[in-house]
Amino acid sequence: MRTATIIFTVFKGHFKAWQRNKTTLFWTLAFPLLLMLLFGGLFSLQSDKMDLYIENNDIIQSNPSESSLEIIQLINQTDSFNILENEDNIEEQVRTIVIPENFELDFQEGDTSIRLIMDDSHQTFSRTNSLINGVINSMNVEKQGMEQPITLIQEQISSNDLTFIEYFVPGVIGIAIMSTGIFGTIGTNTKYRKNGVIKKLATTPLSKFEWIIGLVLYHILIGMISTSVILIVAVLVFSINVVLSPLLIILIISGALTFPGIGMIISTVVREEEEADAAGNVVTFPMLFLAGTFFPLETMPTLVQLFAKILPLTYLNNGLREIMVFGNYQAALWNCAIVFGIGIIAIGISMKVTKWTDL
Amino acid sequence: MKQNIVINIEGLTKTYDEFIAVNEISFDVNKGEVFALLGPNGAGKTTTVEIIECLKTPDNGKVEIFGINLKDKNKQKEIKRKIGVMPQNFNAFDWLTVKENLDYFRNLYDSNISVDELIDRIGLAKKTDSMYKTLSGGMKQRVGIAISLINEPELLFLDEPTAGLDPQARRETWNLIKKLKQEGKTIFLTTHYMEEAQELSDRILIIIEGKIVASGSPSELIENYGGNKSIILKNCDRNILEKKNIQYEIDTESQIHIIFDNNDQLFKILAAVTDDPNVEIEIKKPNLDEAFLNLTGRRINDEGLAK
Repeated sequence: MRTATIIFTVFKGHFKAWQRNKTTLFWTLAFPLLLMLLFGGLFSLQSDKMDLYIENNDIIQSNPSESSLEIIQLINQTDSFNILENEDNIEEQVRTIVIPENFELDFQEGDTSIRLIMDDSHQTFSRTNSLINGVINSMNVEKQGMEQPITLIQEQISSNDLTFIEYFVPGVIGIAIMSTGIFGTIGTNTKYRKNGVIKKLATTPLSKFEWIIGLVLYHILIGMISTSVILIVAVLVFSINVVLSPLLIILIISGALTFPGIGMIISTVVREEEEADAAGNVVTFPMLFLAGTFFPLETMPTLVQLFAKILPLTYLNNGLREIMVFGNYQAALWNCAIVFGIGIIAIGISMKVTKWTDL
Repeated sequence: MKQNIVINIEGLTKTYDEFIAVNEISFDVNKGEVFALLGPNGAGKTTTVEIIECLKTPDNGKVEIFGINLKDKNKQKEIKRKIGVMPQNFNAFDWLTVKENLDYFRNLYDSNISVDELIDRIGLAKKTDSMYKTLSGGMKQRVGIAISLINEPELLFLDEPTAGLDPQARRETWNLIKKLKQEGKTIFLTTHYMEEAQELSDRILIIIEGKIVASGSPSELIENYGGNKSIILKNCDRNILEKKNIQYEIDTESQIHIIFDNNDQLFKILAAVTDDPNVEIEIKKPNLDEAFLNLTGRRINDEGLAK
C-alpha cells in the first residue's frame, strides 16, 4: 500500500512536470504531429492521380471498339486516374478495369457489365468506385429508354498496397514513443543527478525500484496520450482507416518499458547535461531511419535489413502497423512479445545499473 | 549505549581510489545539540555526513544512529524514516510548486504533517503556489529545510545550508535553525563558515584532510587555541606606557597593541592611560578564525577554500 502511494507520487510528479514544460510537450506532441503533417502532406501532393489499369477485350478487327474508347475517354476526363495498360498481373495492381468482349454489341442491346477489380477495404476504394460509377451513369444516360445498359461489378482482390500516410502513421507513433522515452529519460535523470534531486530522493525511503516503476507508468500514460493525439489528427486530416485493439495498449506499455529503460541505462554513463542530447541522438538516429519508419524495410539493402532486426523500434513499428493497418493480430502479437521482452530486459538492467548510493 | 548519544562513530574511513577522504575519525553527537563539522572544501565533511545519511558506504569503521548499526542494509530504510536531510547543493523539482514539492516528499514518508503550516513556518506562505525554479537561492534553501522536516525527524542533517547565500538570506536561515534547536531537534551541521559555526553550534569538530584536528564548544576552542586577548590604543603617548613598564607593540598604522591574559593586567593598562582624553581604546577578543588559523595554519575564504 505504501509502495503504491510512493509510486503514484513519482508518477504524478513526472506527469505534472511534463504538462508544464514546453520542451517535453514539444517532443511528445508537437514534433510527431509536425513530422506527420509535413511528410504526409508532401507525399500526398506528389500523386493525386490514382493508377488505373484497363484491360480492353472489346477488339474488333484488331481495333478497340468505339464504345470502349468512349468509356476510356470519359474515365480520362475525370482527371483522377493515370490510365495504364493492363500488365496481366492483376494481383499486384491496386485497381483494374476490365471491359468485356462484345462490349459494344451488348451495350447496344442494353445488357453488359464492366468489372472493377479492387480491394474494397482499400483507402481509395470508395472514391474509385464512385468515379467509375459516374462514368458509367453518363454512358447509360445517353441510351435513353433502357434500364441500366451497363452495370459495374466489383471483384474482390486482397491488396497490400498502402498509401504513404497509412504506412507512415504507425511509424510516427513509434517515433513519438521512442524519442519521448529515450530523450525524456536521459534528460531528466541527468538533470536530477546534476542538480541534486536524486541525492535528496535517496535520503528518503523512496527506493530506486519505486522511482523507475513510477517513471515507466508515466511513460505509459504519455505514450497513450501522444498515440491518441496522432491518431485523431491522422483520421481528421488524412481520413485514414485505423483498426484499434487492446494489443495497441500492450504495445505502448512495451515501448514504455523499452525506451525509458534504454534511457536509464545511457543516463548512468552520461555525466553532463550537454552530453545527454548527444547520447540520445546516437541511439535514436539509426532507429529513426533504419527501423522502417519512413519506408518498408523490404526496399532496403540486405545489410540494413539485418541491422534493423536488432533495433527494438523495428518491432514496435511492425507491431503497430500489423494491428492498425492490416488488422493482423497474430503477426502483431509476435512483434509485441519481442518488444515486451526487450523492455523487461532493459528495465531489469536499468534497475541494476542505476545508482542510489555512492552517487 | 548512552541514552543521550544519537550518533556514535568509531574509526570511520572512506577512500576514493587512492584518495583518503575520511581517515579513521571517531566522535559522538548528543541529543538536542547543534553539532558542527567545520573545515575547508575537500576536508571530508560531506563524505562523513553522507555516510551517516546512508548515501555512501564506508570502507571501515562503526556508525550507529539511534543505536542502529549502518552495516545492516535492511535497517537503512528505518534510519532514513527517522532522519531529515538537506544535502549539499540541495534542489527540489523545478516544475512543481513549493506546496507540490512538499506534498511529494510527504507522500514518500507517509507523513501526516500539515504542509501549509510548514510553509508558514519557513516564511514562504506567499510563495506556496510558485514554481520551485522561480525562487531565489535563499528561498530554495528554506524549502530544503522544510522538506527535511517533513517526516518530523528528531535528527536533522544540514550540509552547507547557507553556501552561496547573501548575508540577509544567511541570517534568516540561521534564525530558522535556531528555532529548530529550541524545539529540541538534534542538528548536524557541516559548514566552512567560521561565523556560522560560532553562531549556531554547541559543539564543533574541526576536520582537515579527513582527520579531526580539534573539538569542543566554540568558546573552548577560542579559549584553547584562539591566542591572547589584546587591547589596541590609538593616539596614545608611549611615554606613559614606558613609565609604567608596560610591554607594547606598534603596528603599521601606529596603533599600540598590548597583549593581556587577565583583568588585572587590563586594569593596569587602563589606569595608565586614564588621564589622556584623546586615547581611543579597543579590546580585541580572539575569535574562531584565530583559533582555526592557530590550529591548522590556514584560513578559509568565502568559497570554502583553505589558504
